[in-house]
Parts: sequence; structure tokens; C-alpha cells
Amino acid sequence: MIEVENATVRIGKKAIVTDAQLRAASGEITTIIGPNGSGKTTLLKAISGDLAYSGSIRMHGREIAPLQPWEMAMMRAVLPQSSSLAFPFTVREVVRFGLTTGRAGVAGLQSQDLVARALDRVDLAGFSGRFYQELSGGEQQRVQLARVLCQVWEPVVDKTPRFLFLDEPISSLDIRHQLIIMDIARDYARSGGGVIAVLHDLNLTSMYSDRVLVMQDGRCRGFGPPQDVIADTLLQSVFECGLRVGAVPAAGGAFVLPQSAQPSLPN
Amino acid sequence: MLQRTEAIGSTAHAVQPADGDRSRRARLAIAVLVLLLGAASVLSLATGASDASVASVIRAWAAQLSGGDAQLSARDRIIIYDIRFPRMVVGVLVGASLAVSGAVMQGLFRNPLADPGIVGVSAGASLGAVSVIVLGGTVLAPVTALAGIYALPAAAFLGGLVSTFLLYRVSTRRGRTSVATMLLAGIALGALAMALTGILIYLADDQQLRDLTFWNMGSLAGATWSKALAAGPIIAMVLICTPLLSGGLNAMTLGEATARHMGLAVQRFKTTAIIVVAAATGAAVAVSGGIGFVGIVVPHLLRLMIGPDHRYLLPASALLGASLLLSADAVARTIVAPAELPIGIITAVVGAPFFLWILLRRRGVLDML
Repeated sequence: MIEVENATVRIGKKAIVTDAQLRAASGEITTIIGPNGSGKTTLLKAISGDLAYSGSIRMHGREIAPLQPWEMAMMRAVLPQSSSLAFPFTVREVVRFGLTTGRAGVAGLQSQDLVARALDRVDLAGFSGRFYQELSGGEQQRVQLARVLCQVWEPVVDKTPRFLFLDEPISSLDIRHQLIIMDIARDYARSGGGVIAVLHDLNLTSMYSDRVLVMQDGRCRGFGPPQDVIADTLLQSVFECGLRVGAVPAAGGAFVLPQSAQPSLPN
Repeated sequence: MLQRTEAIGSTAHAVQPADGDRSRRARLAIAVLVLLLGAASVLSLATGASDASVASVIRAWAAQLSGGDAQLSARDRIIIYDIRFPRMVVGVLVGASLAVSGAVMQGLFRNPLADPGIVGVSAGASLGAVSVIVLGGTVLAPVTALAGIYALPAAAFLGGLVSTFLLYRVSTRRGRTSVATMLLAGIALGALAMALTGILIYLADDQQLRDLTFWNMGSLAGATWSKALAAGPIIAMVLICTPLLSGGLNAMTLGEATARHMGLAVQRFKTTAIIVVAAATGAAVAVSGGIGFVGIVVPHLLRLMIGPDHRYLLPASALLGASLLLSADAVARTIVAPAELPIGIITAVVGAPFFLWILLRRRGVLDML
């Protein structure tokens, strides 16, 4: 369980996030949505332990501010929005970094091929010998997810659930891989771990989230199950455009929703 | 910004096994480098202006072991034991510490162009060392009295520490290091340190000037047992500490925020790395002056061969740095025999074009900085 109470995050003198409230339970996907600059990433960074905050942010009942980086690394892994790499590492070497810290929670022999399993999981089997820098942005993002998965491979260790923090994990992915990545997040939650994700895609948010936090101008505007939060009035006010939930376009225009994907198709 | 840093770690020339695991190759390379260092050490003992040969030393040892009389002449004994041996030891220590400090600095700044010689850290260390030489008898007399033979390396260490710290503060903002700012700040800091060194040289007397001359070019010619003893413990400590840095340097290649997410205490790590760079550079400068380009050439070659994993890169850099410096020193001693060339000239003649070659390969990238 992650509990955020009246958290305010300042960068310089400006408050980027004001009085944020959030409860993210294990076993659930909690999604943060909101327009650009609404403070989604800043809030996630504060929960990750990157930024100082006032108020309270607790993980499993412990305030995170005084925790050491290695303690945090055992309880949660963070997928950043984008990652550059200073030196020419191979995909395998990058994913392996996930095993050098944190705690995969997988014993001895099994950890040997964890790198390969993680790559397989993000649909990058056979990529281990490629250079990270030669991959496309979407492929790099999936390599990073494989590394992050290695850090907290088992969703529950010593009866303590662990968390994945995903900052726009599907922003540069094609639709098939968006679904694959969101499935990974859902499986992680169903196995007892917790997921907090920042997303822009409202359809995927509605499909996969158990709870949704809506942010605007650094403040929380709504929090609850997607069917309650993803509603005309709130969306129109927060995103400042005339959105209508469930409205089907006039005949003739093609539209494709991720909800229409058949699970039976080969992934 | 992201794209630039990415492109800087260009991969065009490296090759790798199909599964991307280069650790076996790296271990093999380290074994070969150990042999190479052995060969370079023998070469170092065997070459010089005099005809004293290693073969005669080995014959003398063999004779001693079998109970016979030592055959080594007094002259050869002095040349081998008191001149070439300390010179070899200092060469190994200096070569290893130059290469390792380059590799650690490049990892810390997440940039293959960072090198203590290029970004003014060596100049800062020189300033510290020159201060002790020139002012050691007057203003700094209590310091030299207290620290003895360690005054020189300690002062060089302090000078290097201040430069590295300033450089990092200037060029890094919010966890991101700007390449252009780093190189330009390095030029400014180096120029300032050299100007202050110039003032000290202006104040120096004739004897001090003689001592100072070798700082301009760098040389192992002044290597003695006492110098090896002064710098040895510092460099040995650095080399023992570096394996502890390798995990952190690997994590740092993903950026500071990600390194912290992976459990690294980033601030403490950076402080440690800066101290290690300054200690290694300071100790090397204290005994041999400014020998450039070892710190940039050696790690770069090794990254092409075994990849950038610091668990292997750091020990391999130490070994190859030591071997290359001993070989360069052997050339320096023989190429204009019986005189000898300062080794800094040789490393610059080889290293500067190499540096330009790296720049050429990355020119498209650097244009955007």
C-alpha cells in the first residue's frame, strides 16, 4: 500500500504538486492521468523518492523520505519516461543491471536466465546481442521495462508486495506492444504486486486501471474507479476540450479502440 | 540533450557475441593483459642507455639460488636495482592510475571524452605539487615538515580534488552533465591553474626551476624508491577501491535518477568517485608530472574490445595503462639514446591524434553541442 496525504512538491519556489492525495493498493493498477504539465510525473517522482515533499508519502506504512536508496530499490522499481545510455552496452548488459541491485526474489539457478525471460516478456526475445543505442525508441523503452522487471521480478517477497512505477510506459509503442506492456502490468498486479502508471491514453486507462487519479494544475481533481472518474464533466473541465465518453463517431469515419483487440490473436 | 548523449557512445566499431554477454571475452582479455604487463615489465628492466641486461640479473639470481657467487657487477647492480627497478614500479603505478582515473572520470561524467589531463584536473594537481616545491621551504614549511615525502603527493591530490569538484559543480545541473560545459570549464580551470603555477615558477629559484622543468612534459626519469614509496600507498589504495566503484559506475550510465532508483546512494557515490579520481591523478602527477592521454586512449580501446562494463573495464584499464606506459618509457629511453625523451612527448604524439580520431568519429554529434 502506498499512501500519499497532503503531499506538496516544490521545484524552486513553485509548487508543482499541491496537497496530493492518493492510495495505491497492491493487487491493483493505479493510473494517473491529466493534461501536460499537470504534475503527474512530478508526483510519481516524489513517490519514487527523487524529490523532496511536504506532507506524507508512505510505503507499507513507512514514510519514504528517510529511507535509503537500497531500501527503496527492494520495494519498488521505476521505469523512467526516457533513458539515454552513456556507453555502448548490449541489450543483455542493460537488462542485467536490473539484477545487480534491488532484489529479484528469484533463487539461484532461476535467476540465471531471468534476463532472457524478461526480454521474452517484453517481446524482445533474440535482441540480447543488439546494441541498446541502435534500437528504436519503442524498443529501448521495452528494454528498460525488462530491466525494471528484473529488479522486482517476484511481485511479492517475504509477504510484502512490491511496486512498479511506470512513467508513460507506452508512449512510444505501437498498439500491439501497448497491449503487451499493459498486460504485463495487469499480471504483476494480479500476482499481488502494485502498479502506479502515468498514462495519456484514456481508453487504455479505462481498460486496465483499478483506480484513476485525475490531475490538473498540480491538484487532484478526481480519484476512483475508471467508470466513475472517466466521465464527461470531469474530462471536459480537466482537459479543456469537449470530450464525450462512449460517443460513437458519425458513420463513415474509421475508429479503432484498443478494447476491440481479440485476446486470441497471436501476441 | 538525451539524443546527443546517446549518440556520443557511438557503437560503429565494436563487435559483440550474439547473445550480448561479453563477460567471458572480458575475463580472457584481462588474463592476456596480465601477461602483457609481465612482458612490458621485463622490457622495462632490460632497456636503457647502459648495456646492463636482464639476462645477467637472472643469471646472478640463479647463481645465488644454487649457492654460487653473485656474478652481477656493482655497476649493473646499481643500474638494475636502484634505477630501472624503481622506474618500472613507478611506471606501473603511474600508468595504472592514469588509465583508471580516466575510466572512472568518464563513467562519472558519462562521457568518453572526460580525462583528468584534458579537463584541467592534472593542471590543478600540478599547481598543488609546484606549490610544495616552490613554497615548501618558506610559507609551506610546516606542511613539508609534517608530511615529509607525502607532502608532494598530498598537495597534488588536494589540487586535483579542488579542480574535479569545481568541474563537476560547473558542468552538472540537475543530474545531467553537459559535455560542452565540461570541456569548456576544463579549459578555464586548467588555464587558471597553469597561470597560478606560472606565478609560482616566476618566484622559484634556480634549483627549484630545475625540479620544476619536468612538470612541463612529464617523465619517469626522476623515479626513485622514495618516490615510489610516497605515491605507492595512495595509488595502491585507489586501485584496491576501484572494484567497489564498478557497480555504481554501471548504474550511473543510465543517468543519476535511474541509478538512485536502482538503489545507489548517488551523492555519496559521486563524492567517492571524485576523491578517487583526484587521488589517482594527484599521486601520478606528483611522481611523474603531466603525462597526458593515457587516461583517454586506454579506456576507449578497451571499450571497443570488451565493452563498457566497469567490472572489467577498470582492472583492464589498470593493466593496459601500466603496460602502455612502460612501453612508452622504453621508447623514450632508447629513441635518442644516450639522451632520453620525456615520456609525456611520446604519449602526446600517440594520444593527441587518437583523441582527434575520436572527435572525428563524433564530429556530427559534437557540432550540435
